[in-house]
Amino acid sequence: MNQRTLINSAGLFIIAYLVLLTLSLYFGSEYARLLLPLYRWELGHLAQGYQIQSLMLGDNRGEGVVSLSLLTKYFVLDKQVIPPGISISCSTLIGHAFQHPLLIFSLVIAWPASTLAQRIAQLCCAIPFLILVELLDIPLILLGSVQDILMANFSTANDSFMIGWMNFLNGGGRPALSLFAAMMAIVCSRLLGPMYHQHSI
Amino acid sequence: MPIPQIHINLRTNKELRFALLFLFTFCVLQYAYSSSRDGLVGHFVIDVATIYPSTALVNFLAPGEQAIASAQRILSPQGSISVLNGCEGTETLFLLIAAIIAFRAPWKNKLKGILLGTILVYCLNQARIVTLFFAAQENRKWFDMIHGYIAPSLIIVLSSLYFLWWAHKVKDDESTNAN
Repeated sequence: MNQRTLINSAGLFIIAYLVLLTLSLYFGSEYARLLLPLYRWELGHLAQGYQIQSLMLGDNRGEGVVSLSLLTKYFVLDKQVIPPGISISCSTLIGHAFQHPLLIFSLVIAWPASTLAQRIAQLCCAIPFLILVELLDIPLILLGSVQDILMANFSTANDSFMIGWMNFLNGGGRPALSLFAAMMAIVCSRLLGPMYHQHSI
Repeated sequence: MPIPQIHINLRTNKELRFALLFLFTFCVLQYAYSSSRDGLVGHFVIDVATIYPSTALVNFLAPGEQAIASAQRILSPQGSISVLNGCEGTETLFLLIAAIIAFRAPWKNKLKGILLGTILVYCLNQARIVTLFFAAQENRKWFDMIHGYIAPSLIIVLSSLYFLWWAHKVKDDESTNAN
């Protein structure tokens, strides 16, 4: 990478970040609202032991949150029978949801590309990875919170895969996942490179 | 055209190797830290290295605040903020260290990069905490915006720019030495 490419990439990175940050400040809630059906679909598959009552955007002391309310069904958690009908509510910041597009698209836009087609390919490849990391974040964080609450009340153990994943994401795993997704999008666009070069010829 | 094809594959391999090594190193660092966070390490990182200096910085910038550090909180008669797990800046530091380790470079350069990067991330995080402390008192909306939206990604973006500069410098040094 020469000096010029470095300055171009750094400049593009800053501009892309500022533009996306401004968009997220204005349209962050709309972005999260768009994802709600996806979250609902995922939770419907993963939260078999619960009856989901609501999944919506809310407000917690002024901060925008995605909140989940559910009732337990009859199931076993860590060898403990959880009684049905327990109402649990938990939430996580909306800001978490759009940290992903903010980082993924800033990086992908700034990554050096030899042609416009390559840059577009990078952006297109980023979309499925963005959806994947969104599915790995908010719904699993919410389920992790639910398990954390249940385990604190009904189990001697205080760890499970969901709680571990929640702690991982909240402890820096979230941006790590975004950066990894951006890099994988770039790798995929390189692998697809010969294909779109052939089509462009 | 075999030559461009080989070039693409090599470049892709390097990027894939970097991405995987980056994620693996981050997970190892994160796991090691979360396993030891409840003990002395956590006390040193959160209380000694984060809260006390932030409180001193608040008092330096605004002596009228009379802020004190108390049980993972910065307290003052005007208000307080809690510095919880995840607010100590280790996540960004681990991301930066993982990126530097994953990048192909001599270890001497990597160590220099990590040392300078640690100082940078530490200063950025201190600035973030102090900014949040004052924002919490001045305007709750600003606090929410900085806490939830701006600060988490801004520190990572600034650290990424530092990584970009460091990686360029390493490659520049390599080509100068080769010549």
